[in-house]
Amino acid sequence: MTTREAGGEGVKPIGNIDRLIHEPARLMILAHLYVVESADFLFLMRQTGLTWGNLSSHMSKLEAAGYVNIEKGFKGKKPHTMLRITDEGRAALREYQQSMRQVLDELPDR
Amino acid sequence: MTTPIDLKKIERKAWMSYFHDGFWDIFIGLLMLGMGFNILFDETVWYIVILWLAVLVLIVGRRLITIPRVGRVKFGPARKVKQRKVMAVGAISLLVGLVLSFIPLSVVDPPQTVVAAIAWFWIMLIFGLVAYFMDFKRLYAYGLLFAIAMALVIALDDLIPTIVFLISGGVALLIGLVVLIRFIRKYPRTAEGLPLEGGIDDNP
Repeated sequence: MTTREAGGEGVKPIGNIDRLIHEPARLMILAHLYVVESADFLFLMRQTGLTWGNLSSHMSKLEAAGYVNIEKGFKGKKPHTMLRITDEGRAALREYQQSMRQVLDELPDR
Repeated sequence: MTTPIDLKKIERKAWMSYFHDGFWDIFIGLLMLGMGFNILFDETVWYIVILWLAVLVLIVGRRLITIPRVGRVKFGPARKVKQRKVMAVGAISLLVGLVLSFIPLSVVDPPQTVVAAIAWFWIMLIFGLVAYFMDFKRLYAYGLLFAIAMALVIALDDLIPTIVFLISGGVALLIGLVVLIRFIRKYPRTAEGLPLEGGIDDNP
């Protein structure tokens, strides 16, 4: 049962949360890419504290959704990959932040 | 209203991890040591040699030590604007310094203490602005030391300014080395493709 099916008006904002971004690791990845122009895997790994495998896996999902671009190139003879958030990714993150604000603002007082 | 993510904080942390590797402290320390030796031995060659060494350490160090440990990043427009402001401050201070150096003292002839005070203020202003735009807090302290030393050079004609420069330079150099060692320990070099230990335990 999804959150949309479970409730009425009150849970609509929760239902609008982008689940792809809502995952903590992916949220961190997108947030870091949002504030820079581009970064490589090592930089993101250091900033997020994720392992290489985790980061790769999350990046694949984000790339499939069109939120990030993975640009493969070379630095001299060494292959080098730069990561960049797309315009769709930026918009999605802004929308996510808006949705979360709405959800948190509408939390009832005890 | 709460925000789930503080983007400014994230950007600042990213900037500081990439930038605060100790090399700028070493650079400033060497500059001040160069000034001290220049005054001590009354030979400009000391300053020139040490200046080149400082620049070399900064460039080579970041390429061989910082980037392989922290990775590559291109910061966004907001940070680039700040960097341009730093360059503007540097250019303006150089221009003003050049202009002032052409004003003959016979025309103005202020007391040495006034000249020293102006030099102190001007150097503090430059260092302060650069520290603010670069988010480099230690630069405020280095600026203060540099300004005091320069003011003493103008106001006094003895060994005290030299000692202040040498001690300040030594302190900055030592801080830079400590920061660099901590940086190297915090960010061990890893071959691309090998996972690091730790990190967030999650199931994609």
